[in-house]
Amino acid sequence: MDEIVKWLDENAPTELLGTSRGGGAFDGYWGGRRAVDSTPARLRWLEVCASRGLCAPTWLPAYGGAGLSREEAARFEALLRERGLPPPLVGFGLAMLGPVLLEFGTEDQKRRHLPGIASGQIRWCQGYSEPEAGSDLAALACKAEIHDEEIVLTGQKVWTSHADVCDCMFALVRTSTKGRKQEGISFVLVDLEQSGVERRRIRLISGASPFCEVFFDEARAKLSDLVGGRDQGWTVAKALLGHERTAIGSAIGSQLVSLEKALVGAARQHLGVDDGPLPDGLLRDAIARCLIDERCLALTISRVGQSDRPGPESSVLKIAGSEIKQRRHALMMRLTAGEGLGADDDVTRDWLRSRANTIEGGTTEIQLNIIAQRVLGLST
Amino acid sequence: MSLANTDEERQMAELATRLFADHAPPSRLRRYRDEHDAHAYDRGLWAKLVELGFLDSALSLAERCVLAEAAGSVLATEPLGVSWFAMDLMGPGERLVTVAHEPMSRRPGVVSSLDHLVRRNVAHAVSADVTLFTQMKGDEVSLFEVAAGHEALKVEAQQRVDLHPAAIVCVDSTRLPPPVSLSAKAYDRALDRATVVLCAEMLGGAQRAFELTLDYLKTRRQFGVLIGSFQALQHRAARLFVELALTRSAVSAAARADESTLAVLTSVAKARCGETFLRVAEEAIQLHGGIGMTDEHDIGLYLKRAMVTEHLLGNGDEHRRRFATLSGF
Ligand SMILES: Cc1cc2nc3c(=O)[nH]c(=O)nc-3n(C[C@H](O)[C@H](O)[C@H](O)COP(=O)(O)OP(=O)(O)OC[C@H]3O[C@@H](n4cnc5c(N)ncnc54)[C@H](O)[C@@H]3O)c2cc1C
Repeated sequence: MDEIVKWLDENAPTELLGTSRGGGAFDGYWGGRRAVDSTPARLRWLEVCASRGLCAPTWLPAYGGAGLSREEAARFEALLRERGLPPPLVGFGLAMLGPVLLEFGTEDQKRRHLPGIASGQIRWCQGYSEPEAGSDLAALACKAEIHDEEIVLTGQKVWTSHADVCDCMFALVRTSTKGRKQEGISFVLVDLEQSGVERRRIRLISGASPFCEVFFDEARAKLSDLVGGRDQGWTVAKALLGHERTAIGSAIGSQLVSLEKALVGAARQHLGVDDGPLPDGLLRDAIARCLIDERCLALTISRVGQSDRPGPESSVLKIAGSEIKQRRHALMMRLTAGEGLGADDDVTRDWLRSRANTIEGGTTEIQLNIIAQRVLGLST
Repeated sequence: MSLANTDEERQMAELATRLFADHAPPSRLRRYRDEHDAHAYDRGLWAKLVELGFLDSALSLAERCVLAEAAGSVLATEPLGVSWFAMDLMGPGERLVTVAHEPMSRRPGVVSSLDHLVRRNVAHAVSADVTLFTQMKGDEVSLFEVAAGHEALKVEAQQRVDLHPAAIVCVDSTRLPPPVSLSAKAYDRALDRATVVLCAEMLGGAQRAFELTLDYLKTRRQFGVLIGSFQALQHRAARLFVELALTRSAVSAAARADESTLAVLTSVAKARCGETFLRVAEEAIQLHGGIGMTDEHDIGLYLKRAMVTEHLLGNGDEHRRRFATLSGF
């Protein structure tokens, strides 16, 4: 670790010190060939980390990782936090696809896809939802026909976050219509840079961060890119959702100190006091509640959240994390409304965007169903 | 559902609802935004509303509320609220007058010195012929009438999240004609009446957001059934219905308050409307799922309006505090 500290001090771009917004798994540089958020400092930071496998510290070096233990990786992350450094790379590849490839992928799939994720070369999006298959994900209909070594895709995905700036998609497709609807689903990796794929942007209510509709018209994928076996995709899909929920739920658990500063700072400005106890008891109470819940969330993450295979507890994190985040952003709106309410203000956009936290990655209602039915045994 | 109680009020409600439905769908807010239209209201429709007597000085507060509720249900931007407010302060007139009133509690950032009056969220300031500045001075309130284009006046359009037209206005008060003064009591009454009208508008918005959601629960299918058949969602809708019933009673009572009850009923209504509108709009988005998060769907416009209106004419905290003070605790 001493060696890493030294290495960090020599290599971390000074421009990035203290710039982390503390958003957790999705706050940082997203990479990819179509990268829209690159800066020279981010690229340099990515490069130095990737060359040592530190974008995916726990993955094996053969897969582009650094082969660190979970504890070592956590210490590395803590070192970044102390310096206010954002992670070198974030995204669905690292947080979601990577873990399921490690669990379900063939050796060939791991060697072909993990290094591209860990180096930030390939950015992945998630092709799960369809117009008629949201909460009822297993109702998905996007058709996949297998011809020799090729899979031919025809159908539509919707709400695909960032599809317009991604290189590839992990998609759920229907390979069979026989039996239970969960039984005919396959998990496939699709290159989006081909003629059979059309991406249309959809604007969000926050104006920013567009998601997309993606249309497949005889788009192609390789049979060797089917993960977990033909018609066996539902198991992979659910495992990935566990990782997604943990990532969304953890998104505020990681940097309590900076979050506290942001809220308290906004309150001080609002009330016009530089230090001491906040003179408005109501606000003081509201902020304390928010910070206490955030702390409890962080404690819960460190108690149960770290796992190679998140189970139903990921629903706890997803519900709590998303609701706490919404409360924080609503509170920020209240604190800044006097000078704020602007359509393009960061505070406003963050508030509006946070309303999706209880929808994306499986709605709160679906998470509650999971807890009630699978954990508490309250069957319907 | 309407605040109307009498036949006459019901007729007005019907007329207004039809007019707004035909000429002022919420979707036009996106058009105004995309076309950078700083006026952001329909002058043809406005002329028609005036012609139909919507600005008649004989309208009661309850009648104004009936019209405002209809306007609020489609998030209409026509300058009814400010016009009535101005009328209560300076009598009826032909010009479009907006009121740059003092915030309920002063915030840092709203820097008003003796020389410069700065006001945010002044509705229709870009389009107004006259901006009426108010300034508290002990038991009196000074009203400065500033004509559009006056050299001491600066108007900066806000790109506000609700897409309703508003601006930051600033005036150099040393270069203004002497003010007209009004008793604080008369001013408070006018402010309360304007607040009640805003409440009616918020109620209309909350009610419509609820109805849109109810429709969605009755059309969207998942797991082979209507999502409205899930008991968890039925209860959520039923709860909103309860909230709306309480809120409607509060607005209705405030709209018909007499001199002695107006202040307290105004604060009851405004505190309640802010909570209800936000809660209904947040739930509405949640129950719409992904489609509710898209710019193209109207439901998001209701959430944005809910957040802004919560902060206009005193927010929930301020009105709860005022309620406590007025109630003697
Ligand atoms: C910002 C954002 C980004 C997203 N990014 C992606 C992405 O990258 N990839 C992707 O594949 N998808 C993505 N999604 C889609 C997301 O996963 C779906 O929106 C979500 O699963 C809900 O599906 P739906 O929108 O069809 O809503 P519906 O399923 O139609 O739900 C409507 C309402 O009904 C409720 N409901 C449904 N079933 C039940 C039930 N059984 N019991 C109780 N209540 C129920 C829901 O909770 C919700 O409130 C994104 C969504 C958003 C908002």
